[in-house]
Amino acid sequence: MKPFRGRVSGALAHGSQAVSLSLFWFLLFSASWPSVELWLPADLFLRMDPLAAVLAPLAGRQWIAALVPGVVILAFSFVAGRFFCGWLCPFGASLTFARRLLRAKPAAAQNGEKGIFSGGPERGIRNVKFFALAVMLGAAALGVNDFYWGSPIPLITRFYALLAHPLLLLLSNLGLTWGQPFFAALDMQALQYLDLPARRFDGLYFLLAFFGLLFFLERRHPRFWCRCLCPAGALLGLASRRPLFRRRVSGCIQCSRCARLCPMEAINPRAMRTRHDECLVCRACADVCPARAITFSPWGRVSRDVAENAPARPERAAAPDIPYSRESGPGHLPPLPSRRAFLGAAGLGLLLAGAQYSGARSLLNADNRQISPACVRPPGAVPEPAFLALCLRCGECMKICPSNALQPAWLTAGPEGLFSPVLTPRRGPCLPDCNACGRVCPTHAIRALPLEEKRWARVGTALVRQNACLAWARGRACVVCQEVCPYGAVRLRKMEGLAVPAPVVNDSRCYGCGYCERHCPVSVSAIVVEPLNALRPAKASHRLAARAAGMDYSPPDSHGGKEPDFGRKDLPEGSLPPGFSE
Amino acid sequence: MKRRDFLKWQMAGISLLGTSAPLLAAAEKAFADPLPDVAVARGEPGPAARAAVNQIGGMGRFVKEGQKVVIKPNMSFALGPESATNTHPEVVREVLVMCGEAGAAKILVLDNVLQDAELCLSRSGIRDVCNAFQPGICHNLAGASFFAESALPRAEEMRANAFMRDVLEADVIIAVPVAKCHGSAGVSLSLKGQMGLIYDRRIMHSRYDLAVSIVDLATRVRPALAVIDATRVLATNGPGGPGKVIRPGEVIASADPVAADATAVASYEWYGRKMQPRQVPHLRLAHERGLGRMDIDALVTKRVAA
Repeated sequence: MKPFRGRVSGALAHGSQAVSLSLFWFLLFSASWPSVELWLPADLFLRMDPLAAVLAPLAGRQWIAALVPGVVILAFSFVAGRFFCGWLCPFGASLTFARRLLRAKPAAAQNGEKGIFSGGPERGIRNVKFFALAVMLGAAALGVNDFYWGSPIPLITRFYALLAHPLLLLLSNLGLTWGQPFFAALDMQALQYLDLPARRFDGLYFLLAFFGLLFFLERRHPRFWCRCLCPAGALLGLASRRPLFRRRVSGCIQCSRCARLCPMEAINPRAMRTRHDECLVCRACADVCPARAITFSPWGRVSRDVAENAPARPERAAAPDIPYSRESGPGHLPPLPSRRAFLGAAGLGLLLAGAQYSGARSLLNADNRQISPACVRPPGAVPEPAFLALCLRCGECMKICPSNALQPAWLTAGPEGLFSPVLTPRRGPCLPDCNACGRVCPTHAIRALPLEEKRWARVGTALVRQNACLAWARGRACVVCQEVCPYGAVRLRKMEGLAVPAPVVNDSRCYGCGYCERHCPVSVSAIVVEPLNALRPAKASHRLAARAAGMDYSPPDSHGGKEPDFGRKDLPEGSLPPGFSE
Repeated sequence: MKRRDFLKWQMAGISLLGTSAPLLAAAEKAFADPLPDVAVARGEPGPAARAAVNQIGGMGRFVKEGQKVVIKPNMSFALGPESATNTHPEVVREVLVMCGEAGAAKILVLDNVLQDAELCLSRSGIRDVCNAFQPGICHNLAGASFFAESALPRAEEMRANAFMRDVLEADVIIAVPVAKCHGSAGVSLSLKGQMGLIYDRRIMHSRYDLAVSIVDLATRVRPALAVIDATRVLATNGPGGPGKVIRPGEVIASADPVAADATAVASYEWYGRKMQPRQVPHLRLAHERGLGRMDIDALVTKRVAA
């Protein structure tokens, strides 16, 4: 359905979506260590998520200044409706983009056909988002973060960061590999030797299934996520039940073009009534209206040319359309689930929180003893219960981690820690001079530590599995762990009955960076980092905490100039330096 | 005289020498002063490297006009030159310049580093000097597509591995390691350093005997020239440090990598002890398998000041 000549309101919204999505891609894909900060914060869009902005401070019991934009957007919805959903949200823009790619037509346009997912105005399935919101609100009230299941910006960030970005790199590397002989022949060394480091992430099947389904649904049911599922949309919908700038109709000729076009099916077929809480303010309806009967303004002004032909008091004249308005209520507000349903869902959220506190592997109220040996958190992570409450699971830290060490957890951090970041040294170590993860974390679940502080933010301790270690178990010269340790924490010790010096970890120098685990030649690493002795103060200085805990590692960058006091000390009289023989 | 002028004059001198090489060779024979097996030059990193190579016949002896050269420095650690974990960039630069003077057609500086590649290449200072010489010749190669399987027919244990394609195609390999001790190999010098040219070096620890497989590696990619940077020596806690750094201010050069390594072992104190080359297992094995000589007392070593 083509808009009339000269009418461009809908194109404006599409243009804004394109700009917004492009900026989102740019910020996400270009953010890389060491140049973390660009002219805009890398987590700009995450800060605008209205759901996270409300529920993260509630669940985390703390004020989060970075999330203020989300609150502003929520407040602004009282004036302008769900403009965020229609104009800014990169999730919504991605769905629109997918719809364009699939050349899909909304179900309503196809002979008014409706499937079970169509979520037409009369369908209760639209209410799912309100229930989801209430459940998440209930859980957050008890300090439990369940909103990561529905917070749109973190979800779409995770999709692009963990799934789309690695696939792009894979594709580029494929091209580079195929092109190698070609580049060599043309002496294009820069391209010939270019090797984009591949990114791999755990648990991509969820993202594939979740977004695959949503994009597929876009073929027939535009914005299914936005109208039926998105709890942030529900929150904004609650704020925009009667926004100041809203769709107003006068002089309707009841051609229903607008209703067939509306991606949200927010217009009833008789075109008069609008579900403002579903309206994305995209204004496409205004473009296709032959009678120019539709305006988006604070005033229900009637333009003269239409008014002349219009029936008197058109709003009153229209038959009551129950899903769109309650005739009994003031101002024809859109319908909502009943108060009882809301309260029930919120109660369910409380119950859910209780169940999560009571899980055998729950870390929500845990002391560190319950943490699984593989649950090594990023450096600067706040104490575990707060971490779980604050982490949005956006994957921004995993995207930026230069060694690909941060991975989304499956059950490593308990069922409550699903998709939260864990340090996986076998995949890559934590670089001593990098603090990128904390700098991009929007909620400071990983604290934004300056490098001098981060260098003391111990994440765990390396433990030698002596029954697997080549030196310990088989008496073979190896000690790659000692070779790669940037902290000088792996020492070689001559042991009785061992032909070669064997590696031991000096606990007070080990940071848990995992270089040893990364490079151990044994197939299942014989030296493994565990979260033992990790330092996770909520506010205090890591440096002071580390000093208090007896840590004596000097920052790795200073070691060149300094003459350390160990080395010779390790060599008892009469023995040979490591690696030499008689 | 500016350094640039000095270098220009030097180059002019060398080209003059080059043209009169046959004459010179004849003269050399006539005066019966054969080239030393090992040269040790003391001085600033760059000049010492040049002096050492000149003593054993100059780069022209190893690199001919139009050849492909691969230089293998140590740059595995994200640390500056003062840590003595990586080759001094000035030594690498001088070797590059000498290769250029000898007429090499293509020079690459390659390694497969341990720590973050970007940091290693930048902090070691080696990529900067390479780019100043000729942009885009210094690379960390880690992706499988840069490697090709190759057999090691003369190996005892490691009979196959994947080598950098550029290394397999190279006419000349020059090892330019820094002198440092090594927890499992004793020392990491020109033979041990060749482990940076293969795809899977973990297997040399896990499946094979490290010393044997280092020698196996040398049967396939034995450097034609070893230039050992001993301007600083990491004498304890190698190869990654932090450890005790001593500063002999020397560069060792030899056409025999085993002899060069043996000279380095014998010249400096490791963990405060004087050690013999035969006490380094892979040097002893390399000697026994005829890949070079560690009996440096029987060799001619010339010491000069640069």
